[in-house]
Amino acid sequence: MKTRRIFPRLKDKRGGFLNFADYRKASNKVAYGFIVVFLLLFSFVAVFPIVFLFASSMKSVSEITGNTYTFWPQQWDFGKIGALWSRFDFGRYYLNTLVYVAGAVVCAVLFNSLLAYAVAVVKPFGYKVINVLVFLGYMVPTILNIFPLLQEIRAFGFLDPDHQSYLTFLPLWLGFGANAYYYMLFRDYFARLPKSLVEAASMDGASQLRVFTRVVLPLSRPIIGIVAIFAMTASYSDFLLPYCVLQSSNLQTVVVGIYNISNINPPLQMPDFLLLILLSVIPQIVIFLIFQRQIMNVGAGKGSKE
Amino acid sequence: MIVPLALFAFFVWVPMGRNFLLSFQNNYFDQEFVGLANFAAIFADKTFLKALGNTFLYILFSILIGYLVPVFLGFLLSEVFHFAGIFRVLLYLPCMISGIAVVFLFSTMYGDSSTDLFNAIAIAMGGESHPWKGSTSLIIPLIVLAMTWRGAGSTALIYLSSFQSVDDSMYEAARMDGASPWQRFIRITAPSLKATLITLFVLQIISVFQVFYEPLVIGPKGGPLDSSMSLLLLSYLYAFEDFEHGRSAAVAMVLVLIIALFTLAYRLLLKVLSGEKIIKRRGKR
Amino acid sequence: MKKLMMPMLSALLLTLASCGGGSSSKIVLKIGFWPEPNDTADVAMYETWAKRFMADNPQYEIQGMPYTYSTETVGQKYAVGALPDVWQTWFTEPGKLMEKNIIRSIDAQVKATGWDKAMDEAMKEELTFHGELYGIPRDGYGLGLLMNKRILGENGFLPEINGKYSIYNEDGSPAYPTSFAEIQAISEELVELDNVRGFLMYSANKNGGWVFSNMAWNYGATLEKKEGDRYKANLNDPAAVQALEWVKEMRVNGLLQEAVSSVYNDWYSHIGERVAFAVVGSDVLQNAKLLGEVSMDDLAFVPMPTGDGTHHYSLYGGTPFVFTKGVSDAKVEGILKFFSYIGRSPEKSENNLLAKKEGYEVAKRKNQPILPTIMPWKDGEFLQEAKKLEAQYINVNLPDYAPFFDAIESNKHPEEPALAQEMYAALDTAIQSVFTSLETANCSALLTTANTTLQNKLDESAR
Repeated sequence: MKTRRIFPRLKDKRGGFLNFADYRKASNKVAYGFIVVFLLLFSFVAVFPIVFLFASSMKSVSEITGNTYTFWPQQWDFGKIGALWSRFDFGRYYLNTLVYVAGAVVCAVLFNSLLAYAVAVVKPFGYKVINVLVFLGYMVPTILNIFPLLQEIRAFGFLDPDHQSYLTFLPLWLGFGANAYYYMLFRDYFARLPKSLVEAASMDGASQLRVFTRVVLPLSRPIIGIVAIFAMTASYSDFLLPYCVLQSSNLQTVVVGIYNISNINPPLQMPDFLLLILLSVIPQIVIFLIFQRQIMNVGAGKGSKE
Repeated sequence: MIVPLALFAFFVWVPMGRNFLLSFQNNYFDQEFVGLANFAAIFADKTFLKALGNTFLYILFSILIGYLVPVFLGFLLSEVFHFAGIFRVLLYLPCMISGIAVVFLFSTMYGDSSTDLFNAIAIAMGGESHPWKGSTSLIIPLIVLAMTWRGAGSTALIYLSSFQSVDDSMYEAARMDGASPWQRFIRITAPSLKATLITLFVLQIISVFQVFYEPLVIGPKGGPLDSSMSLLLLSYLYAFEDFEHGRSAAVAMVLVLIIALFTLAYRLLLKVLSGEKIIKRRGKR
Repeated sequence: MKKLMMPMLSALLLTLASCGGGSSSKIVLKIGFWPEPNDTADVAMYETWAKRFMADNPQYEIQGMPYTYSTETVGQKYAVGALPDVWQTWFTEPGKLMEKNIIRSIDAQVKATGWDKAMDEAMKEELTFHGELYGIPRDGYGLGLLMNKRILGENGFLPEINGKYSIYNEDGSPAYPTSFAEIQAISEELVELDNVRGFLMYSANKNGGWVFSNMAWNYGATLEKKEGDRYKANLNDPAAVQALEWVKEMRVNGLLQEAVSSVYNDWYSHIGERVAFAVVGSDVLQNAKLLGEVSMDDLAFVPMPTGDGTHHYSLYGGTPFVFTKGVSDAKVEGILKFFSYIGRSPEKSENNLLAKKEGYEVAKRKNQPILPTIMPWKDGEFLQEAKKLEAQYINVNLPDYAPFFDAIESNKHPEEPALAQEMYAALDTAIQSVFTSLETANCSALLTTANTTLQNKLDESAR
């Protein structure tokens, strides 16, 4: 049995660009040293700004406006985190974000897969035109046409500022149902499914919708997971459209809330504002640490699918 | 199928078509056709010309700064033998932070007074303070740097899987032939990475066209002296600050044109490359 | 997971949709100048006022819709139809907002109340277009010179009287600087003595141009000239060039703040330790303490310095309330009535004065600095009562702030009449160019470029 070491030896490295054979040479060992040093360096660069954010948000106003710079605050006042949280009712932003993300994920998976199925498997008349049109949407950012889009949404009555319900999220959610990238991911996946399965089901007299829900979807778990996680991170960070649509402060997501708070008058004290930013990133970090394996596998999967 | 098609129509195609028409009209509500007046107006606007030039600067710097870092990171991650999991987590961490939080954070670090982070570091290392985001020549590289900080980890994972998908036996065969690591890299690693490299090159360029809230927040509003203004941000400001919907749409159409040209170039490139492959294969036979 | 999600989601939608309704036959007034929800004390105060108002006027329903004006959010709110019925803007804005059909005239409604006769003439004029009134002034501000007494005193620039640094000499004459040349002289010594910069000069977000226009006037410049019924840009007035030369010299010698792009909101983070002087509006002085945590006792507020030895103009403007286009006459009337319940109308009614008093009480409880204000109404019964009330609550050392407030009546100078924001943007560019190119900057050429930019915009808007 192979035992796993916490600190494995280079001569056990079997695969990769440089393996045990290469590491017999001293010069390659030095090269390995560089690899580790570079990684340490990059990891530091990746983490440092977050530490800086934490340190700065804990400073007092006079430390920020003073003439000398210190990295760490002189005093730690963790009580102000709770005070600021309740002052801005930050929990509400999180609840809104949660609802927003949930709806976005459902719409992203449901509608894009439906269209992809229709195009890739059913292949109706004109499906090539659809492909080209969708590709157009892939190249051109949606927010480029935001003004006409907002007017459309408004014409449907979704933008009435009196709406205090999550119905206001509907146009934003549905927007995720028209995502060219997710559509293409689904389409490529479905195209690779064995044809015989679909044909067999159709022979049994099942309707297309039935084939889709009973046969195709259960086979598509991996791709559903990928799109779901993409949609999750994308909707969490989504800015311009929610910023324009979510006018009531009771409905705003964390990202929109932060941006709006940056504009209030009188402005917030700098450390307090940085603390709010910190509060806005902590959940993502926690979610990531819990689901790191799934998320990173998807991240890596992105490349091999393209 | 009708429903998702309707969604695409509603969110993508109709607004795009409407914007196309709008670029020849005075504004959204009057819908009076004014010919090419909007285009004439934007090309007479110094800010637009500046933004047009900036677009290419953004592309240049995003390739210089943002393109190769993830390749390097991917290689390091594929080769490291100790604590590989921890390194992956640390490098991926910034990708989880929303773009808005990133720009506010970096905007603070790039501050131009001597008590802002970058200057504090420069002074601690015996240097002088610089204006950083207040500098017209540094602002775009700094914005790209912030974007790279956030995006490099996830792109690196894509390269990681490409590096890992290289067949070990090919390396083994090369070793047998006595090829140096450098030769191995050129002959085996680089070719098998080509497809990913090209795809991500294009994605990198597309992502530049999406630059919007980065200059809005860090600039701020495309500053200093419009030196970080992007076409998307300008289009937004025309519509929402100046109430010039027609001009906003005209800027959008210019951006669409640029994107279309890049897409064509990309397709052409793909054709040339795949053509090459066929010729090589024939040659081998 | 997905099977669960759909019914859950639709159930959620249904319940939320049903409680979102709740229509009433009352006329809803959406108030944009409502305090932000995190400001709980102020929200509670506004709620009291709203209750009082609705008890007397049951046909109306007040709805708070906090909105902070900024040039790009107004277009966004407008595009989605989410502007409140009434909101605050800046004094420079109503012209553009009227032209773009975003706000409505309230001429008839205001005239019916007679308030137009009580309004400060200068402010009324700035809110009148084509003979119709488009807004109600909330309060006024004038630009003045804020100085850090502690820094100046510690370095020997202010006399010490009874253990405190004073901005007056023993004989009562002013010991504070009154000209840009004096500020420069003090700054030069200060940077040697204490390593503190002299002056904070804004350069971004149009704030630089805004303050610079005032400085240029005090060098004797006229920035826009009337020709017929049009205005002609005159930014390269030799006096304006002199003012920019002063900025350049200060910058070259390292006497201004370090930053290249400074905005107005930087003042309260700089006036405590980093700079000795900053130009600030009289309406936000309390932020020195609230946001910068600088003691009001360390500061003093004096008239704008002069460049040519005669002019001490103070750019004078304020915050108007404006009404969104499409809001009904009945709503406008209701909102005007509401102004008398929040201390914002010129009526000497019980509720109006009570609201003013309550406002001061809340500020006092929150331990806020209370300073003199510039009220937008002409001398009359209400103003006298309001001033009396204010005097009871002022909690800063008045002699330190009196030089400004005593002189504002004679120093006040309205903003340039045509496209002021565009002018500020053009001037910002000139200032930033000076900051970035330093010795090589040609002030005259930069202002000529700014002038061309403004003139093009003026020509365009005349078309």
